[in-house]
Amino acid sequence: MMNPDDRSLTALVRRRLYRLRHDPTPFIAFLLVAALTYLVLGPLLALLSEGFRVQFRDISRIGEPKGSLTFYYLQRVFTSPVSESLFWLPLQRTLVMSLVTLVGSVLLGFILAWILVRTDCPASGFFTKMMILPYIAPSWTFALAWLTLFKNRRIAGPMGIMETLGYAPPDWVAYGFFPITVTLLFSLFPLSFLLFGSSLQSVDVQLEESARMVGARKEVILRKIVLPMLLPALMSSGLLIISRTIGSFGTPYLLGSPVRYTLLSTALYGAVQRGEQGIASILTMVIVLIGVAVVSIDIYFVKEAKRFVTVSGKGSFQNRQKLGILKVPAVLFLIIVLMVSIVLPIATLLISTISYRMGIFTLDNFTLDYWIAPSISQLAGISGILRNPDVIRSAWNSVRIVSVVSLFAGGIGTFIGYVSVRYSGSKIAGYLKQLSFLPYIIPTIGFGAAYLTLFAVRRGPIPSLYGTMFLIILAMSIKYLPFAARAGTAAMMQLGTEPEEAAMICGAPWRERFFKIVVPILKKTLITGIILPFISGMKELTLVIFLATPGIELMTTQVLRYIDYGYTQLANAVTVVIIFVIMILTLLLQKVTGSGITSGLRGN
Amino acid sequence: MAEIHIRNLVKKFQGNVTAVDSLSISIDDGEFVSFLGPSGCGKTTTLRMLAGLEDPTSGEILLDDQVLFSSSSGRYVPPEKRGMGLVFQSYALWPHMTVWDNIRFGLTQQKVPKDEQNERIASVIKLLQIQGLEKRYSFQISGGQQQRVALARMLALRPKILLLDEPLSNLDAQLRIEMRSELKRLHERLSNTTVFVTHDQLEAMTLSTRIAVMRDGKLQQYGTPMEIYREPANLFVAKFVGSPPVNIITRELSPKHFDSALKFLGKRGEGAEKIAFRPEAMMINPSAAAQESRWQMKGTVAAVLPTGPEWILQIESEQVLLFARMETEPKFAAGDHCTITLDTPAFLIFDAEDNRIT
Ligand SMILES: Nc1ncnc2c1ncn2[C@@H]1O[C@H](COP(=O)(O)OP(=O)(O)O)[C@@H](O)[C@H]1O
Ligand SMILES: [Mg+2]
Repeated sequence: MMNPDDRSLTALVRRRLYRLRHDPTPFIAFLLVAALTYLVLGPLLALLSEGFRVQFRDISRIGEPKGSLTFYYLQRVFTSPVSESLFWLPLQRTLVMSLVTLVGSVLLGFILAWILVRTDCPASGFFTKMMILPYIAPSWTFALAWLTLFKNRRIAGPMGIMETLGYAPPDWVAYGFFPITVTLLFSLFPLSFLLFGSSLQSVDVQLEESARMVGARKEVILRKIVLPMLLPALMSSGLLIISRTIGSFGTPYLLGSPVRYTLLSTALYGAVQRGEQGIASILTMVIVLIGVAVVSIDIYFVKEAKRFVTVSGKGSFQNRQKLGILKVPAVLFLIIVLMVSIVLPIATLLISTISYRMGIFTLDNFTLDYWIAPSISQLAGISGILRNPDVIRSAWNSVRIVSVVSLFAGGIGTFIGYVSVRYSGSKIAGYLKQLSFLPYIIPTIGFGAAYLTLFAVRRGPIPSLYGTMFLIILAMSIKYLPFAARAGTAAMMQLGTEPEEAAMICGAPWRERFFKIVVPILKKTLITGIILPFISGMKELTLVIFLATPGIELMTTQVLRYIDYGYTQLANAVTVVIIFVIMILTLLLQKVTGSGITSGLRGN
Repeated sequence: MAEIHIRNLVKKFQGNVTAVDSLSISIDDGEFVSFLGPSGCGKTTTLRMLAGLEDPTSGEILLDDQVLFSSSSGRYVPPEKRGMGLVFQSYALWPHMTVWDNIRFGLTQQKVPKDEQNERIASVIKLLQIQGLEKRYSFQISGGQQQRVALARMLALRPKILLLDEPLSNLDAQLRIEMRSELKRLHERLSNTTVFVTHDQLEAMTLSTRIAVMRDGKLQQYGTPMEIYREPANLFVAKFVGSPPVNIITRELSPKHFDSALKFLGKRGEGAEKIAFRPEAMMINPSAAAQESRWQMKGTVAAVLPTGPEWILQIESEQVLLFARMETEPKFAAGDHCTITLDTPAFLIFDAEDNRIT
């Protein structure tokens, strides 16, 4: 006699195999789980392993064999005499700078959102669109423009515009805390503007009207009804900004390093540059932990807030506050913000690339050399960027890498969405969801460093990928996965399984169902899911700073290289090209989706 | 021939939800069977297991002599080989295809020759009266038309069995009645074996040859509409079918009425815990004229609700609200006293487990 359990087990296996041929979803799910586990958790584990084990270069200093457990690096970072300059000072500066940036951007974002959403300010549609521009430009654009305007003789390269005009800025204006905070503020305020804007829009007017019916005065309504409902937006934008400032590298590098104003991200960069792998791992862990803490707080507050805030989206009938005599000052304010946050920086960059010497505005100073000259005498005979082989190679690298990344991220995101919906409520779906969210939590600089750590050496069957394009592609794809996965899941959720099942009943095999039913229906979302990573990838600097080697320069790292050499105009010209490409793609995205820019921000 | 036999079908979802609990049922060739029950009772799950979209946890499904699914032998026939057409509650029309393409897609998959495809599409379009919509997309047609396209899409494949998941629930009241008769007409014309899922007892009553009433994944009763209505197997079935709902008298809530009814019923009332009667079985009079062979109780009219062809009376009696249905205009106003009279056959009597005794 056969054991009945055994019998039903073989039956089950047979059935599963049979079904796999008709529906490879379990296979896809398995692949996703395996690959993502390695690519998301692997780097974090590698950090732990490198940070607590003796590195080759420290064998004699620690006096233990390579690879044995050690707390040496931990001590060095937290308690040794060098810990002050290695960690504590950068940490303190980072926190202060984040806080100031946070307060500034939240205030600015809130005021702008209020004016544009709740008052009868003219041309609010136009201003709303323009206010998002600073967010679209790479965040270090502002730092670059600042340098172009305010740099002094402390660093190499041509004179800054202010100095040419007769005013040599002191160090505190040119470099360090002040310019870093200001430029970060201008690149980050659109985040809080968008969050406040959308929650102001969705506050149900009836809530305010009921308060009026029971006799509450205007300022009471504002204080007791409206502001409490903006709390989630306040928390979210605040925490998002902190996470961004902690993880950003370009701005602190450009504006901080001339005066050795080191932040956490640049301290980590220094450690990696000096080859101190153990210390770099500990610093990365700290950055990752801060990032995780910040996002956990955010999630907690958003959850808390959901309990008492009901958003019903009747906002369109809001009666807008009359500005009256404040109309002119309000519009002036908007124009000033626009000028300072976007027009001025981009104009500065652009003008510097077509002026022979920066800061002189005469016709004979006009030149296209930095763009097209075969050899620029000022810059050691290097050629203009449009015919410069280095620039062309890095542009080609950027385009190649980012194209693959966007297809890769978009594709994985789609499959994650597909599996999550097909297996909705299951453990696999939950695991994939959390795993694909994790890269979002990890500050970008930490993510890049962790990838460097994991792939710098051969590990088991997986060879060292350092110095290959593939590593950059992997890191970017996984870092952008949270957006792609969320977009994919949301789209698939909305689609549901039924359209595909209807095709199944018609006898369509999996390939037909996926490519003739699922993909065409989700075309728009998929295109968005491809263009968005493309845009992010084109301007990515922080993530690739550890992964791009001189052999595979990207456009963004090329900018840094040129700044290091003192080729300010070339750096600016490359940046202008990047911004141009991004703007075109953003417009394209808007055409495709009808809205676009905001949808990729946070995807509520 | 297309008979369905379901044996001991069980479906457990993750988190230990038993959506369907040892369901056994047989559906004869050409029948129109409704699965009726409140939302969440496992109707859709059952239908999806029939279609092959969901794997049962255990049990067997047979179509004629062919085993479609068996947990003991491990046999499983995929959806497209079952000869079943499923119309989803959401219709699930493919939004990127026109009406014509929606219908054609399945035919292409089944490798039906081109000429025959066109023929079949034209004939289902005519059958469902959706001529003129061929080139439109699903968002360009009304809900009722989408419903017809979803049906046409399946009928074009000539399924042996038609499975319909709450096909009328997304339509407005007027259209719903229209589509209901349309479905009946279609069934009479094509005589496919049809399984119809609904939570609307009126739909089930009017359309079905037999009704399977479900609750919490368990089959409560399987029978013709009249059996279900007149001889409900338990209190749940009695309450679920009929509108206004059946009136119930319990020992706890109205002990006086309950005792007097028990006394009246005599031997028939043995073991009774609850007594029920339908609104139309009640005779309402202004005053009592004692009648030996009938049971009477007093009450006060709480509200008179004319529906057009008939009148619903709400009557308060010993703290319970009772519904009565009258075909002639009542001479009562709210607040009037009245007497309720019931014949012996009107009583439905239930035991402590809510099962019907007689
Ligand atoms: N995919 C699923 N995963 C987990 N539980 C489910 C799933 N589908 C249905 N259920 C549960 O099974 C029960 C029956 O659902 P369903 O068959 O859809 O009911 P009905 O169609 O009668 O409203 C419900 O409790 C529902 O929550
Ligand atoms: Mg259902």
